Amino acid sequence: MSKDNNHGHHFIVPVKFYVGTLIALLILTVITVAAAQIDLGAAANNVLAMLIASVKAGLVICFFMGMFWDKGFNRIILFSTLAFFGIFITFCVLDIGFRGDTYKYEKGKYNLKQVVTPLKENKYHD
Amino acid sequence: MNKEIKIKKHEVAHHFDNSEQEFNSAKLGMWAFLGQEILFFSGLFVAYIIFRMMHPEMFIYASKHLDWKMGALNTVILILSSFTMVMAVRSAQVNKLKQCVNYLIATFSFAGMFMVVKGFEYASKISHGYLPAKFFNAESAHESLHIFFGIYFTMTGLHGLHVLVGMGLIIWLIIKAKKGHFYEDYYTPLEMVGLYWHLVDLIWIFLFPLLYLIG
Repeated sequence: MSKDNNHGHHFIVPVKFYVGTLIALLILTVITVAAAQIDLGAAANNVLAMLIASVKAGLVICFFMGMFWDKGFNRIILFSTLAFFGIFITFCVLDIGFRGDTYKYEKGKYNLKQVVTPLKENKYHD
Repeated sequence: MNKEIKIKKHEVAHHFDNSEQEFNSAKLGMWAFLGQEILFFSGLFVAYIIFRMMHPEMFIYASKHLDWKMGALNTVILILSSFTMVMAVRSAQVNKLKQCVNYLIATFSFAGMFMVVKGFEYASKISHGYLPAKFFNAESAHESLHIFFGIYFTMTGLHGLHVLVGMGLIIWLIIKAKKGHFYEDYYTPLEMVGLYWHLVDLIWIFLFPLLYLIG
C-alpha cells in the first residue's frame, strides 16, 4: 500500500474511512448504552458490553491508528502486548474465580486426610 | 490569520538514510511506547476484575452512583476528538496547513470539554464524600464501597492525566503547525501524538462500560 502514491512514501487514507469509523463508533456508543438498559442477566450484559467495546477498539486501532495499512513490526508489538494482557487477565481470573473450588475438592483429589486450612487457623505460628 | 501558512522544509536527521526510514523508526518507537501504556493500564484493569469478582453486588450498587449520561457524553466527545485528530494528520498529508491547525484546535477544545465534564463529575463525588480508600466519608449500604471509588479515581484519574498530557502535546503541535512545520513530506510528530491520542480514546472506550454501565 505504501508505494501507491509517488509524492512521499505514505498511503493517504481516504476521508470516507475516517467518517465511516466516526459514524460506526457513535452508533456503537448508542448501542452500548441501550444494551446496558436491557437486563439479560449480569453475565450476558457484561459479555455484550465488552464485545461492543472490543469492536469499537478494533475500529479505532484499524482505521484511526492506521493499523489496517501499517507495517508488520508494529502489528507484532500490538498483538504481543494484547496477548500478554490476555495472559495476565486469564490467570488472575482463574485464580480468584476457582480458588474456592480448589479448597473444596482438595480432599477428594489428592486423598488428603483432612481439608487444607489456611495457616492462621492452625497453631504453628503462635 | 487569513494568510496561508508557508511550508518550512524538514531536514532528515543525519543518522537516517531517508525520511521514510526516519518516519518508520519513530512509529516503531511510538508503538513500543503504546504497548507499554497498554500493559501499564492492564494492571488497573486486572485490579478492577479481581475486586469486582470479590464484591459483585457492591460494584453494581456503586455504579449507580455514577452518572452514565456524563460518561456517555465524554465518550462521544473523545470519539469526536479522535476524528478531528486523524483529520489534522490527513490535512498535513495533503498540504492543507491552515485546515490542519483548525483541526488541532478542535481536538484541543474537545479534550478541554472532556476535562470540564470530568471536573463536574469529580466535584459531585467529592462533595458527597465518595472518595477513595481511607478518604471515603459517606453513609453507605455496602461496607466495601470505598474500594470501588478507589478504583474509579485511580483509573479515571490516570486516564485524565493522559488527557492533560495529550492537551499539552496538542498545544505544541498547534504552535509547530502554525509555523508551517507539517506538510506532505514531514508530519511525524502529528502522527505520533495522534497515535497517543487514539490510545487515550481506546482506554476510555473500555472504562465507560466497565465503570458506568454495570448493573
